[in-house]
Amino acid sequence: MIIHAKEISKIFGSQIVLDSIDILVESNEWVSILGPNGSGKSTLLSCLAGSSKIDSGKIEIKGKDIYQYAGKDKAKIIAFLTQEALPDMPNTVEEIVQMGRYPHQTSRLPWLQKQDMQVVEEAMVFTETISLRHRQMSQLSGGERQRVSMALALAQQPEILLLDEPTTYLDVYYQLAFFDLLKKWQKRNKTTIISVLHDLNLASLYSDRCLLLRDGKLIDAGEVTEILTLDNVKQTYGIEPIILKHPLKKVPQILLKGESE
Amino acid sequence: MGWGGFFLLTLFLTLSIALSVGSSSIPLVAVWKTIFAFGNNDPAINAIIWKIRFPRVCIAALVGGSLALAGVIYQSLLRNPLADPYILGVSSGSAVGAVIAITGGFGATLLQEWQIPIFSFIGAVLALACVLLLSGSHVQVQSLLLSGVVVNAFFAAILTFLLSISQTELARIQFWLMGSFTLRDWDYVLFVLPVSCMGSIVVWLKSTELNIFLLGTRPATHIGVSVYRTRLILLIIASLITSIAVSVSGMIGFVGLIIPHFVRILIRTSDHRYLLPYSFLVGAIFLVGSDALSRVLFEPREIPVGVVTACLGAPIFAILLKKTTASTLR
Repeated sequence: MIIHAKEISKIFGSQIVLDSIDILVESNEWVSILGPNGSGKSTLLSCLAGSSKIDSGKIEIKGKDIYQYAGKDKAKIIAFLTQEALPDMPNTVEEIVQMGRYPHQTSRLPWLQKQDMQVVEEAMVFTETISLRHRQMSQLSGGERQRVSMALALAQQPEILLLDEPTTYLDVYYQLAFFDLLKKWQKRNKTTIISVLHDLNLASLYSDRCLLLRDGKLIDAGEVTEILTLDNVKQTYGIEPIILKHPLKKVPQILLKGESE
Repeated sequence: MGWGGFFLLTLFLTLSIALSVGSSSIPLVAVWKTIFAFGNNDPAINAIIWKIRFPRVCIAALVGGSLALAGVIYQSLLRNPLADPYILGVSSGSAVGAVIAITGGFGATLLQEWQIPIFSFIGAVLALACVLLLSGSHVQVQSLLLSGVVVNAFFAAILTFLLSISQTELARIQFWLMGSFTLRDWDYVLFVLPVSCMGSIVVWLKSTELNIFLLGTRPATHIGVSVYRTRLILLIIASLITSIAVSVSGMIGFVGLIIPHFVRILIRTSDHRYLLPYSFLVGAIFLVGSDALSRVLFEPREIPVGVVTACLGAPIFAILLKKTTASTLR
């Protein structure tokens, strides 16, 4: 068990954003957090990253309270990949991916060691950004930028990778390519992945387990096939879709009915 | 050779020329003979160089380098290309300190020639403390900039008030405000050197963090940088460096704003590992050159060095800006 969240709650003003949620995540799992807008899924993710404080409860990462970790030590375990692409900056792709080695740097001098350069190289090869290494961010397309973000996160060599709707601004080709790459990385490095996703079909295809959130409450949690049921989707999203079994992957897929008559 | 070598060589040549020009012109060879201490030399030349010109040139180099370095840090931390070392009230604070020292004459007998530098340094530190207190514990960019504006306005008002009630010392105050390196001896070099050098080294060791800040606050946190602490440390060091520079030279504008951009455009990177030391060198070159010009242009009258920095720097920068695209800024 790599992540253990016990009855965590988060309150903004008078609004309860997260209402005593329990989560257990095993190592090498891919867990997706699903729910409508405003259900608290992004807040939950940033609590799990330790960047938002919870108001009650406890989050343990590898058996240690998340707020007990020093910044660098936490960044060695957890990497965070968001939907916002990296800002326009004058640095080259290689310089940006090198920033991911920051938590592992031991030398006081601002230069990377050889083994760090090796990791950066591998992350760029894996994400197919190696050919862009000398280009500036402002010269890249949306898909290329998101791959650079991924390379930056992977260069951290995290044990836990948190994804906040990472493919929101990508077309369907890049979405699939992005998730295929992550799956490959997960198999190779035994990474634990927690993703917040809007697309239920992608979540069903790639994740092992799902959490359903609505109004800050955990509605249901479990394997994809048990969670993505007509009842659950109706209860959380308020829609009535058609749910089919994927002919090849044997996981549920959701069809929208379209205009109601 | 690379940019580093080029800048060092240019600095050496500029220093040599600055040592050779002045009320009595000394040939370059004689300058080198004197500073590297070989061959026999005229004792008069020795005295002019070691007692008068060399300390002055050294101070100009240190102040120029410090202001440019501080400019880089402010621009990166505040994510604002218009930020300069004076944006957080350091300048107006030190001006008020200096003017109080000049008009009030407090501690003049005790501190003697150090009276103005010490008072202006205290003023600068006070202004910085006000800005940091006002902006709160999170050192957010917006609140820092706004606090800077408020504190600047407040100290500027005090300055105007002090100027309006003191008639006798107006010329002296004016000259200090415009910046000058007249009559600076080695003691001043020893006053600036430790803070300026140690601060620069500490800041340079934080180059990686400064680079990561370009990603934005949240991504930087996720990579493991303790953003608020690092930002606070860097702001304080940059402000101390600025304060010490301003306290010995007065308010010299333009260096801290323009030199960082100039260097970014020249070396075509925002990597702080290079940007910081190169900006220091170019700032030193620029101010040593400007000071030399301020001495010789209207001989025997000396004009304020701030006039030269602006008149010289603005056109050079305008040409450079025209030649590059706006995207390389920032």
